[in-house]
Amino acid sequence: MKIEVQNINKHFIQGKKTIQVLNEVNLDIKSGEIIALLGKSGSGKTTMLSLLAGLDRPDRGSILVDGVDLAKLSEEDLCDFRAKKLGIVFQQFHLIPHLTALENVLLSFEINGENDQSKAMEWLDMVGLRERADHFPSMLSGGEQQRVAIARALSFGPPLLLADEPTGNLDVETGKHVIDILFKMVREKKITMILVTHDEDLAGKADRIVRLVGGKCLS
Amino acid sequence: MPFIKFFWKDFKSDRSFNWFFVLCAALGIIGLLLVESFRVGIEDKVARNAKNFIASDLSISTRRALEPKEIENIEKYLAEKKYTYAKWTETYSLVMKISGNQEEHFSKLADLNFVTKEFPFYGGVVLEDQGKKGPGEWSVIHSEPLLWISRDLSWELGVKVGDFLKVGETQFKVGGIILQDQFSSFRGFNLAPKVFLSHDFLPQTELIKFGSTATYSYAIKLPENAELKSIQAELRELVPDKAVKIVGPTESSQQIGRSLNLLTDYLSLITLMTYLLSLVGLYYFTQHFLSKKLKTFSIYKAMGIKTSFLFKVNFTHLVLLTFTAVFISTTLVVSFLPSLEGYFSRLVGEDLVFRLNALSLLRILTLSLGGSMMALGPLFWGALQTPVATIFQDLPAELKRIRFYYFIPLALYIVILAVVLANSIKVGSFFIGGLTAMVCLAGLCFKGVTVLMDKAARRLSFVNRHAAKTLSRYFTSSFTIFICLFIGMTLTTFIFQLESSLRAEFTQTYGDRRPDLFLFDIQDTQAERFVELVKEEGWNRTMFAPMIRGRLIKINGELTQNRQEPGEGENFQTREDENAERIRNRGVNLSYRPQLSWSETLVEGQFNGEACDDSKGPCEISLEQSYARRLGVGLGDKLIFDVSGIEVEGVVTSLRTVKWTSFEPNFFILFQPGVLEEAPKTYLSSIKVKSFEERRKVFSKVAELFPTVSMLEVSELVRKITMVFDLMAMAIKFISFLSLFVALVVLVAVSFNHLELRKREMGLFYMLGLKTEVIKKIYSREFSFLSLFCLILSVVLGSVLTAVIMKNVFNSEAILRLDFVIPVMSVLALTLFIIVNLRVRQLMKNRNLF
Repeated sequence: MKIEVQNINKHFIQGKKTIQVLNEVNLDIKSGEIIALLGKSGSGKTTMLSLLAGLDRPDRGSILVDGVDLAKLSEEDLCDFRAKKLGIVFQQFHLIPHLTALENVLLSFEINGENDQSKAMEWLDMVGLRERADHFPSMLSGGEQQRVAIARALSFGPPLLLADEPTGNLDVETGKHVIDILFKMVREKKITMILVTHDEDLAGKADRIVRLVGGKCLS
Repeated sequence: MPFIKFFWKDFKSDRSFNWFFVLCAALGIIGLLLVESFRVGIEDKVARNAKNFIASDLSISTRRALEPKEIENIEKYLAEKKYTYAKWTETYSLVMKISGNQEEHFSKLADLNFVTKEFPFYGGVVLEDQGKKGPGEWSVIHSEPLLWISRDLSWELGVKVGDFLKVGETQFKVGGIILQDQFSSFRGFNLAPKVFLSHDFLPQTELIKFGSTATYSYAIKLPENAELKSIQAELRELVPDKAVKIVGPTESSQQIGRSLNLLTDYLSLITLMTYLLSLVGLYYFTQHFLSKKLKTFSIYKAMGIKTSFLFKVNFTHLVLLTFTAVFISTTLVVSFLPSLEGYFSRLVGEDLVFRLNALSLLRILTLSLGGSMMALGPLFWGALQTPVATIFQDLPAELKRIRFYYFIPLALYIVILAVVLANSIKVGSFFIGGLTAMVCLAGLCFKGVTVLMDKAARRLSFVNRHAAKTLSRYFTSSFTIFICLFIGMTLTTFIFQLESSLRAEFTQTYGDRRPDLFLFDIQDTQAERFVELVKEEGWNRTMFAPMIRGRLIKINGELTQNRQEPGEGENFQTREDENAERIRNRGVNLSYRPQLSWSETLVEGQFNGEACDDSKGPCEISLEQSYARRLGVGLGDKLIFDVSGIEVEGVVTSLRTVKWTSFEPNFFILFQPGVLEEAPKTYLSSIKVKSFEERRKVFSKVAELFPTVSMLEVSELVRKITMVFDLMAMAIKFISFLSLFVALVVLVAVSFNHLELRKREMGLFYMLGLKTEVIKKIYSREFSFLSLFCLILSVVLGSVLTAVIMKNVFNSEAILRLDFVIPVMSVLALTLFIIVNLRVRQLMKNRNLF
């Protein structure tokens, strides 16, 4: 999936102050490319992710995803976009606590109107958690939870993946294991991935590093 | 850090918890305070007017005619002690309006009070245009045949001052219309309106004959410093029969307040339910609050603060919140009391001033503190035991150390509260047992259904699947919401169904079999002529039953007279103790009949309507079932009665249930024929009339030919009963609605919290591509299912409970009417549904999880 970010601007009002978070940002991402988005706290990484996920709209500019401008899509179309074309991996894992590992993975299928349990199970198998399928998130370790989250994000075959500091809550060894799985799958499936991280080593694994500084993108 | 400073900082940081705690606890306490103020108001009024009720310092009274020896003993004692006394005889009879010298055939039953010149020593009556007639101001009724009649009677008969009334065989002139009567306060409803006349004219009326329904009293004035207890004891030695009551103002007022206490006892139980509901809310929120605070506790402990110090801080927090809740609810109740006084004054027929005294406030405060400590203390204790290592965990720490046995004191506390509030071990235990059984049953049903739904979830649509999974897997919060809704709804169903069932029970005519007129005090000598008259006039006499006065003296050879004087026993006496005492010592009415009437049903043993042959053993007795239960006897037990000084023995061979609302002459005790025929007796009869004219004719004929016979209009009696019932039902409904409101507040708050906890889940659903409308549907469906299931279960269980109570307590069928219940509950469910939708909409505004 090809992404073209063109001259986007985004500001927030905090009290009486206006904060310009993104200022004429431009960014082109090729289909199947993995980019690492680096930046200090408050540099606009989260805002950028929200815009790319269609959760927020830019003040100005456009985000073209395979030629379709997200800023011009209706709320309903944005939901469809996320349901069919976007996978997300969070730093806090964000699994639904009352659903089992299998049900969490299955959720992505269900949202798309499918209920293929065997496919969901295959994905759990791929992340090495087949035997933990009936376990609830509270029964899983942090690394296991993140692997379930990866399976959930990729299982329905989205062409775009947003990964928000996926190892931020994991120890080094577990984080490495999770990242290996994530990169392996993304590359195998030729998925476009935008990886937000603070970790320079991790960013080094990406095809390209993009830094957000002062509301602008520096490649 | 000093305790106060630490405590205050900690206290201020938990504002939302503090607010909810105070709101929830205050709502729970309001009901208890209302009932308490009602109780204190009555007790206060009764205590202040205690001497007025008996018009004296000491009263000797009995419902049987005193023996000459007893009269001699009493009067000799009073003369020796130089105590002044008045005689007071109360009886019922028809009084007839007289126009000129022609008798106008219009009569009504009246409550006739014949008093001697000394009466009253306290209290008085207020007469229309003549003002209050207190002690020493009654001479006018003794100088000539003059009577004072209540305003109701003057209206019913259409008489005014100066008109004439025939009472028994004597004509009296109406000397005054009574507007207010201080002797009959708090008596519930009177069978008939009051009339006061001179005792000097009692013999001329010829009303008091053998077996007449009358109360004979001595009203005694004691000197200022007299020792009431020792005088009571001395009199008791002279009159050992405890069917003769010797009571002072306090005991008398306790007896007067009994029927109202019964109402307040039941109201207290409903308010206890309200309080328990608020405890459920408090428990849920405290648990949630502590879960969030566990890390803070661990940090404090890691910094070297002792657990005991933290416990003191939190204990003080709990006490302060409870105090605040009691203060706020008291302020609210005190502000609203004046507007409630009018209504409750109508209920008891007296001007009431609601009040809360220091003792009652202390009681409520102790009760609330006890509840808070026992329900929430274990949570705090468990939370403070959480290891310090929690601070090294990434995920939120969980409250795990609370064991079920921490709550045993709470369970015992609630049982004790129920018994004390109901003033009855049986009713209190039944209430708690029933409530526990209902909650367990509802819990089992809920668990069963949610487990089934979870299993079947795969076959359901996406929205239903997730709604079902949420219900089954967030069991604690789902169940808390469910149980609040369930208790509120079941209580509503039960109260409304019971009310309509009881109303139907009072007003039904049993397929037109219920009589219209009920006659009593028909003398043995009048019986034959009465039967003839009925035949001549072609009246439809539905029953004619003999009534013999007797007294139960032995059960299986053991004497029953072990009665203490009223107020002599322990301070806390349950209703069962009182009933058992009363029933064992009271005079009883006996009868006999060859077969059971249509209003009686045999439930155990064999009814024998054949003449008794005492050579084959003791004669047989049939007892009314609940009377037998209260007496503690069953089939095969031997009872001995004193009937006019002769011991009559019988063995219980059958138990019956009686439909008292048939208003047919019925008795607790029926002897086999052939035992009591020779005993002195009176008769009871019932007549069914075809028209208003016939009713009027029966009244005038009976008043003319049998002036000593008393006659009641059943429809009038039913009207009076339903009037009192309506007022009582309103009080109960008022408290039930309060309970329902508390349930709604608690469940809205719990639902808010339940949804708040799932805010992240809503955001996640949205980020995964689920449309907002679909997300809303999941939560709406969840709450719709919860409400629907609750509605069905509460209607079913509420109806079953009504049927059980109607069958076992009132021996009748329940009328299952849902025309009011369903709309009330639908509104409740709809309110919840709307609130949930609004809350989800609000929570969905912030759905970005990045």
